[in-house]
Amino acid sequence: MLTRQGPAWRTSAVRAWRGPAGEAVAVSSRRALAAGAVAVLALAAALTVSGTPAAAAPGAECPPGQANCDVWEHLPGEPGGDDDGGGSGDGGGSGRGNRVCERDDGTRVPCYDDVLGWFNSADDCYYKRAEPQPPDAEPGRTAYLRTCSAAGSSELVYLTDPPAGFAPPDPEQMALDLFARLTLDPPRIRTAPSDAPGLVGVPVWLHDASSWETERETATEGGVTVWIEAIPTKIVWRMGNGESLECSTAGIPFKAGVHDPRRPPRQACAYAGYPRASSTRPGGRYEITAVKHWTVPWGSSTGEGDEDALSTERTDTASIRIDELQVVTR
Amino acid sequence: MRTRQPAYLGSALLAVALLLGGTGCGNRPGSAAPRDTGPGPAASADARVAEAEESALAAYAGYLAAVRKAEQAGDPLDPQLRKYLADPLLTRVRLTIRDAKEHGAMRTGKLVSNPTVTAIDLDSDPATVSIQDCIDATGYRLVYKKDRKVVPGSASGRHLATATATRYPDGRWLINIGASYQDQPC
Repeated sequence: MLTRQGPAWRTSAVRAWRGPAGEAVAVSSRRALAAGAVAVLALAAALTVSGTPAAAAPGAECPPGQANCDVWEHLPGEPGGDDDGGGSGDGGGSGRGNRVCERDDGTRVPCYDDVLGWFNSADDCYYKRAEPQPPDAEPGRTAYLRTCSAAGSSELVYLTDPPAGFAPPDPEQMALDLFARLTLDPPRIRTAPSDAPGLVGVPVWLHDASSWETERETATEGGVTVWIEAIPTKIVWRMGNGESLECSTAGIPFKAGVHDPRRPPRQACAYAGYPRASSTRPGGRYEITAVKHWTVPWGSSTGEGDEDALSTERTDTASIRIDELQVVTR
Repeated sequence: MRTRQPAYLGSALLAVALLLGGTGCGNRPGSAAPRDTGPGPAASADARVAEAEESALAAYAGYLAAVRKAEQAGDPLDPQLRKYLADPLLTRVRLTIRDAKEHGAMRTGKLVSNPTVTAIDLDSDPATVSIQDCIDATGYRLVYKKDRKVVPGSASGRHLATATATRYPDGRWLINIGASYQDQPC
């Protein structure tokens, strides 16, 4: 058994969990559970009516629309078992190294189950943070969903400290990992004029042709989901002569025949015009640098997050030739 | 010994159903709302009740639709589930989907839902809405993916289900409690 670390151990663990003593025992305990559940249900219903939220669902019922959820327990050796495909991707799929924990009776179970959470060997129960946190959780306490035996007997418990074995990843670290993996388009500089030289004192239209859509990424690991957004906020144009210009949009491309180059509309991002020709600059041109900025808020299923902790920028460069205005005199 | 639930379960459930203000199926929603205040406050209270009722039923419908999608995709962690469900029901639903998947099965077909609101409590913290549904699962089958054969013993018909929608601090209504009662025809 120890040499096989694949889905095999998981399958056996799940079976053992359902009760190794055999179907008869499992079924009779289920009866007791069902009977108890009636009382709990009546209580829960009464509580709901009187306004107090029922803290825990009764154990053995199936959810609406899944009324046959316990059919598997009544099937002796069902034919359609999907042992090869079923286990993979669950349980150990968190990237937490498929660690194996041990129950009191020696059964080996995954330390993390992607539905039930983290295994606590002190009480042989799985714990996950309640999703979302219930409205009535007291300050300083966190609601966990505890699942101890058969599927369906989960209950909410309110704890000040995380239970033993509860080791979800740090959401902030996950956000930073996502941040590092972000692929963001650098700006793509378009100027008008571009091919022909520009003239001193005439506005230079600046446009960034890259995407200004918000980029979103999410990751889930160890029961924690983290999302980040990269929102373009501004672009700073350094004109190569010591002056710079900041625009909160990508600007618009200049269209000959539509726009008057000397009268850029409101939505355009335009530099008012170079005071001097570029002839004295290296290569006879001004180097334009565009720096596009993003703010990157992040959030997580644990409630942790930050609106303005992260930001980033990307850069592009281009050059432009500016000539003196030729005054023709006669 | 093969019956699903003890005989007395039926009467107990009926009592619960009556307690909730319904008679099984078809009772009018909103009957539990207070109506004895003056015209001004009553109007706004009625609006609040109507809004809560609508939001709760929308969450319930969204939940059933999300579960059907997640069942067919065999994905217990389908992000849609979190939009309409909260723990403990959320985890219960995920386990049920995973159970079917691990047995090489899935639920598919048409599920007919006919929910009604049986109680609205907006003064409690958190506010809750109780929902009762007469689900017709006759055309909603649990089948093995390999050969599409119905899993033996899984056939289901018209039966009663209950659910509780709870308002969370961010204003969303989520279904956090729910159960179906196969032995309660409706």
